[in-house]
Amino acid sequence: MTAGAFDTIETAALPASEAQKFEERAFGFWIYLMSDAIIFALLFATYLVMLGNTAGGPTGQLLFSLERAAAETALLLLSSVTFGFATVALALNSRLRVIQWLLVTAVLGVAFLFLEYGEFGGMIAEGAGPDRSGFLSAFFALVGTHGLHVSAGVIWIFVMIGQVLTKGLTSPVASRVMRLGLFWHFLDIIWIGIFSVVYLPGLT
Amino acid sequence: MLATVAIGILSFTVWLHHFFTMGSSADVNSFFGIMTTIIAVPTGVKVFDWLLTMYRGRIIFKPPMLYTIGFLVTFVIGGLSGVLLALPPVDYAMHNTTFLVAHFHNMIIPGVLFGYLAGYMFWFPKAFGFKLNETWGTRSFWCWIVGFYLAFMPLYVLGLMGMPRRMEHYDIAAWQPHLIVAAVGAFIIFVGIVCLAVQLAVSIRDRVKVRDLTGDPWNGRTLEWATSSPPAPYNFAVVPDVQSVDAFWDMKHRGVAYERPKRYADIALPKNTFIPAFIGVAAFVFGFAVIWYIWWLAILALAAITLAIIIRASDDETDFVLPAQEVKAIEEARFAQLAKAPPNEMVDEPGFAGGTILEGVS
Repeated sequence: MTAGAFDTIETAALPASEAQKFEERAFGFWIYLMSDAIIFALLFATYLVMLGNTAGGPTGQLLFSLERAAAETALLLLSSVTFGFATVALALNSRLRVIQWLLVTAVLGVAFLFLEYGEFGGMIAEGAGPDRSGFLSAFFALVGTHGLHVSAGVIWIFVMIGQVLTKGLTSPVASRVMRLGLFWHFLDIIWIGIFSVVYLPGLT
Repeated sequence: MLATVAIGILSFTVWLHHFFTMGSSADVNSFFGIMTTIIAVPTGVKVFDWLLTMYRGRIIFKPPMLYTIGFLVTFVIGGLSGVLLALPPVDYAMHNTTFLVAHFHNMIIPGVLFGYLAGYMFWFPKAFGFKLNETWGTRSFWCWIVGFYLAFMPLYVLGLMGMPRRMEHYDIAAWQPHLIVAAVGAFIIFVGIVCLAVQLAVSIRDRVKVRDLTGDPWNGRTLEWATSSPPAPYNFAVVPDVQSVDAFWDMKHRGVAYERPKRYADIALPKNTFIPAFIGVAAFVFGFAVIWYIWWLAILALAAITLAIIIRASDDETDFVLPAQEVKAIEEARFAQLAKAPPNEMVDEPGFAGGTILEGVS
């Protein structure tokens, strides 16, 4: 008899173990993060190309404030540390500590958004909105996209706080917190890029 | 494959050929003009790939094949007129004329539409479990191909005669005969569209008679045809052992295509959910609202999307396990149906042992 086509692999369709399922989801999330990184790479490239195209309008030197950029950076970096503490608490299986550190992270994220909102509002009020020049269009596209990501991240932190409160630290909830952590730290890395590509050179 | 990769990479360097006359420098136009002509080379390689795939094969002119061959011939002609337009000086002369209109219809109608229609007629039985009517499919093809040439070839001539596109009226008598031919072509295309509608209606009416019992209506070569039509939710009860590029064809030749598995296992499957469809609708509403500045609706749609994602992301039970017993029942019903199925009408192909298609079904 010829080798049966269907004999050899009989277990492949078996339900995957839970751990394996979460590992696959983490991998999927990494792929998402990488595609997001491509979006930011394009926005950074656009920003650098448009840097000189101020159309007679204000440049970064006039618009940016080092104090504000430093405060924003401090808030976001600190929030990454506090999320790290939430992850440690997760490993220690301490529900209360996870919620506490997630809350601190969310407060820091909201404070960051508050500063950024003030910055954008002030610029638009001065007539330096995204429609003023190619440089400003690129600025608002890049920094605004990061801000939208942080806003989504803050909403998501509250959703996860809700899940930890109602469901406890079950394995699906824990795996979601871990993925949210990846997202949050990723936004931190993007911000470091924005700080070093947009604000620092813009002010010197 | 290499040709496809080459096209994929080169396609990033041709976009400015839409804007040769916008006033960019001669260097920019030269670069994009040269890249646009170069992309024709790997495309030509692909055309020869397709021709050589058919070479020395026995070509059976079912509707999907007709559309595929119609695509091949027509797409090459459209590509050649594209190489002409890729030269910036020529584009300056032809820009905004019906020559351009003829060119891009000559690309998208075969390249996209004929491809869609071929795929639609080829995989329809796999998705819905019954075949599309071949007579009406063939009629639609002939209307489409004849109508296409009558409608768009005169536009090339008119473009060379200087006729601009998007005219509301014209008073040049020399254009009239060509435009009449084009109008006749457009009408024949319309008949082709009607044929497509009739084909679908007739096929749905006769769906019991034209059921695809074997799951393999074309005597296919690839693995999707090894499943029932429509396939079970898990596609394959056990993962097939692939030993050749044309795995299913190879299995049929070895007489193992329809072997019963020795045992069945539980299969984990994702549950059905309406959330992606809901998000799709809400995203459409969001886009509409943003375009027309209907802010309350935009906020509402965005909130609905966010809520739907939160609901999905809070669901711990997105999978379910189909027990081996149920898998077995589904597969047994499939084998019973196979045993009753009449021999495939396409099994008489040379090189294929017609009688063995159902070997192993007991």
